[in-house]
Amino acid sequence: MPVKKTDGDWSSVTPAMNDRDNPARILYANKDNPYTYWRLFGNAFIDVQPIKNLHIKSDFGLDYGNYYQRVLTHSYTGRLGVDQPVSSKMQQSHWTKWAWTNTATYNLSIKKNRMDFLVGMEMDKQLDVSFAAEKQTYDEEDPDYMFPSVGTGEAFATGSATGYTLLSFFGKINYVYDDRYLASVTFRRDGSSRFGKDNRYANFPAFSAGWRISHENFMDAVSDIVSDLKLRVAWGQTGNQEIDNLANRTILVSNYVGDAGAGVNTGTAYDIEGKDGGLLPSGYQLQQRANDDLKWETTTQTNVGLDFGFLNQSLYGTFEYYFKQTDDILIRPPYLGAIGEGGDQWVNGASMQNQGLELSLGYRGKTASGFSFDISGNISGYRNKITKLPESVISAYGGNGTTDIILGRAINTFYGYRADGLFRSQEEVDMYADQPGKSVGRIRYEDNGDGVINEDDRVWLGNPHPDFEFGLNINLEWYGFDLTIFFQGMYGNLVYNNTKATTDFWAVSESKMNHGTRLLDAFDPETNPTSDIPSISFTNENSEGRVSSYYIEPGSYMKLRMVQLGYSLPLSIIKKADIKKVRFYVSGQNLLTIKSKKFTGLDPENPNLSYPLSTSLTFGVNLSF
Amino acid sequence: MKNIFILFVVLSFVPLASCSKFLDQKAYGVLTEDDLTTVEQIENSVISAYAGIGNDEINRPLSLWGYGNVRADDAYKGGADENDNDLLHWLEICSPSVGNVGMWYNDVFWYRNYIVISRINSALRALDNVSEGQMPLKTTRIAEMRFLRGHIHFIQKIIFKHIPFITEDMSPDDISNESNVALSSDSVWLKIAEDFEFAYNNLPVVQPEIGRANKYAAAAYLAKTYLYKAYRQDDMHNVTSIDMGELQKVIDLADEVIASPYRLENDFAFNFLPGQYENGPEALFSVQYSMDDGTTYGRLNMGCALTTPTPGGDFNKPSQDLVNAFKTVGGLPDFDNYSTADLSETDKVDPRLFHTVAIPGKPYKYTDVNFEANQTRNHTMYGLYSSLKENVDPASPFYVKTGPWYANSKNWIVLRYADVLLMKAEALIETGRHNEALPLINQIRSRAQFSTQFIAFAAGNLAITTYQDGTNCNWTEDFARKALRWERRLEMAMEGCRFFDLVRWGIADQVMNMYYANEKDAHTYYRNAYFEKNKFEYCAIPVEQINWSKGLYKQNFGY
Repeated sequence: MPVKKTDGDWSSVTPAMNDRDNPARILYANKDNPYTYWRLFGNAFIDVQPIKNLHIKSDFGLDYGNYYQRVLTHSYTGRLGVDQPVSSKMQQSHWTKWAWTNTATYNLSIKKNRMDFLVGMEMDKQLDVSFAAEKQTYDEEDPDYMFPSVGTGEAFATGSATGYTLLSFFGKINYVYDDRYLASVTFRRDGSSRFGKDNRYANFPAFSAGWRISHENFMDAVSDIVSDLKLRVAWGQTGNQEIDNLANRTILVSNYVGDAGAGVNTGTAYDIEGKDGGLLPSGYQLQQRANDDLKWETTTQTNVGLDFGFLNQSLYGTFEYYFKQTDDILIRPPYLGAIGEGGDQWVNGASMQNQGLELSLGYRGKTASGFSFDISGNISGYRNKITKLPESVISAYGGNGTTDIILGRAINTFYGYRADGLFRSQEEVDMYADQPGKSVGRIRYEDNGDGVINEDDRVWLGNPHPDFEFGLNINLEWYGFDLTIFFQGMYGNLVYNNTKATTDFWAVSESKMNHGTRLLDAFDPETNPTSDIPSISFTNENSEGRVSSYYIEPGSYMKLRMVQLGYSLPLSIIKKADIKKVRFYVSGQNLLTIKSKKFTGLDPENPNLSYPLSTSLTFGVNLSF
Repeated sequence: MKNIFILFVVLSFVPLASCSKFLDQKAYGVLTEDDLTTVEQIENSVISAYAGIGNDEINRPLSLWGYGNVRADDAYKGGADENDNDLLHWLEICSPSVGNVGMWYNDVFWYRNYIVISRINSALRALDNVSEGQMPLKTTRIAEMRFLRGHIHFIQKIIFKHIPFITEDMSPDDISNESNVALSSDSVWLKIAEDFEFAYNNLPVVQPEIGRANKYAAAAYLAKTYLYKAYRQDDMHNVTSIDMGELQKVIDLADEVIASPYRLENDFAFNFLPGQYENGPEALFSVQYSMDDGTTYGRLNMGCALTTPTPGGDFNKPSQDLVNAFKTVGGLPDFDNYSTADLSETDKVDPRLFHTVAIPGKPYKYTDVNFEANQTRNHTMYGLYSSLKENVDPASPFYVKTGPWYANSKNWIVLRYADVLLMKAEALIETGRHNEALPLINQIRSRAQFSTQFIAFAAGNLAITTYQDGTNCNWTEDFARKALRWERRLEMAMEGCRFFDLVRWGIADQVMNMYYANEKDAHTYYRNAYFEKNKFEYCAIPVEQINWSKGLYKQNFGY
């Protein structure tokens, strides 16, 4: 489609094309729709010390956001010359969030004992308000004129508010003896308005203990070698309430306006009198069912860690093991269609565990010639497993709801058909199980042995969690020059590369749209018999958009996230100008990605993004006065 | 300093004192079912159920152009190509691919129908909370709701056969434990009949608000239910017997409608025009659409937004076979040779052709603007015809742009008086009283004959007469059956019922395989099409639903 016609107007689709608007026109029209966003935040506190070492503090923090936009819809002669209504919509949103924290802290030191006490409470409240007013039809299609007050057509107004509150009480005791033995006990009681009345509050205790071995007398002999050695253990519980503000409530609303724009009407108004227009009576729509039993999702974590530094901290690092159990995971599961409208309900679903190891190691130093370096790397891995699956959410995490369930597997494990290569000859097609849509050049799906390919042939296809993740940080300095290099990556994870639907098939995604060049290498029994890309087909008779291992690819990658080279002018030069520091630098982000050859998309980190992560180069000057 | 300290201590305790209320966050702009207590609110719940039957969706409309026309021999799918709305393509050619997982069409249709049913049941629960004294119209409203519940279950039934029947007393947990085979196919028909029976017994003959179901609408729908129910099917969808008692009920109920003030429109066209023509004497029950009503685009018939001849649509295109079926010889259908040649300029046809099908070079929808061949998106695949009944004059105010599509605010007639006449005729023929069916069919043909005021352009092509036993036909039972089935096809063409008629009669496989053979040369996508008996009479139960049911649902025979 050309962007414009010869007469200068935007072009639009012809009957044979898909029903899409001219994207250049949409982008261009959007230039008249700027928005402003103001955010104001800060806090004020009073801290009084009635007696020595006792601090009573009251802190009030406020975070306010304000968003305003005017959205203009211009007339546009499109298909068959019919215009869309010209409209102007003014919309505004406010987000107000405040937190009031009151704490009392007391420090106590007796000889080698040091203790910190903290008790406190915090109130959090957020209220979001938004509204919009729209009017259609304007005498002049001029952005300076198009304000709803002067519109002469239909008017629409919307407005809504939503909020939540949190209330927490907490206390903490820290104890340190001689900098060698450390312990702390925390207790929190958190309440959230998002849960059922009887389950708003939950208790989250935690404790930790540490032993700084390097401070023991018996380590004195090796203090030249072991500069720091600390063993720590911790156990604690935390809660999660990141769900909708009204997660526990019934949501029954009047939906007069409906939404026919997406080709589906959902409204509650009806022309019962058959008068063809005017104001209509309107009913209600159930959008969510209440759940009075909804409660906090709780994670219980146990850590054991060792921090170490050798040779005057030039070799340093930590080693850590954790075991994390998450119970009552908050989820709004899909539901049986026959329940109809408002089948949605937030529930406490499965439990899962994560076990992980993390190791980080660094080496730093400075040579006599003035060259200093700090090289550190980390590697970590975890294993995830669903450990409990209540009946009510049995099919909410994948599987078929009966024989194949997620229990015992990692969360988000892929479930679907195993693609077993292509049918390469008619003989192979004829010999194979009854697979609707099979033919030469099409994907062969693995059979469970019953001779028919159907939903019973779905299997667990792979784990999206990495075997391990890693990072490498290099910092070098030499006289005024500094160089930073940062690598990061992960290994062993599988990703679902949905872009293959457009790069490998003509008809799986919408045909008559742009497709990837991989299609050019599609299988053909004569000209390209070795290709693993299915032959080009005008229709998707084999249903190759189904979830299958064809789309599952290794997601391992290593990225050179950043390289930065800087040069700071010598002090001797700049101090005359009363400047503390002048540094010039050049920095590059996302410079290099190493990925698996088997990954056919652009970026394994974001496999379903059609755009690659952009590489950027920055030049800059830092000045400090 | 000391004063500040005291103030501070006092302030610190304020939150503690107000804690108990602090988490009582209000929910703004929402209600709960318990809030629906006033008569007005209960009436609103009823409205929302009515809104449900009008909440159509472009791809899977309740007008059933996909399931009823495209799947039968009346229409081609249309659109850009086979891949545009592809499940309909697989349904159109009876491809085994229709059973593949990931076919989104059936699942969404299934779910959307239960959305409407849940609104109806929600209204019924609200109605249960009020006494007859507080709300004199309570029983009427209950009857209206059961009418709507019968309507949606009916649609669900003729498409999926084995369905869960959901009533207002079922909790979400009950529904989750209700299998689609908990009731036999025949028992589901009985449940649907019970709903219409209740409506029939409790609805007034006239409703002050024209959009509400009345007694005659219920009688007609009950007749329709018994007509379908009477053709008993086994589990493999074979028609095994026909229940004469139930056909008698069809006749009795149809008689009541015939005795009512309802009648045939003077001109066939009036059924398919917006504005003043809506809710005419033939429309027993219509979905009321509206515009300029304060909703985004108007409450339009989105269900027909894909069938306008525009770049975003052009679906539901009348087949050559359907067009040919309108040909007449001596004023009667050309039963045996209608498909040997395509309709030509010199052929004589039934006037209803020009009310049903837009033909290039002929005026579009009674306007003076011709329908043009270039309005078709893919003529090599789907031919050049376009469907008229559901569409309006694009220059009229009833034609509205909604995003990339155009929709209109014309009512959709769910039950037409002509349909009732044909139902009665069918029941008479199947109970051996074919002579009594003759005047009914002729009544419809006569009306067609005089439906010419808007199609003067076609005057030279029109030729239609009534059946006259012994003169232009020999009205035997077999001939009567053939004539009835032909009449039904012409009269109800493109109204979403052809496929279900074929299944009811048990001849879907014969008719469709014959049709494929006739059409496959001109429309090559039919070349491998084959209607496998004992399978394609019904759609597969959506695999997604079998999944969510945790295996409780059973798949239909053949899939």
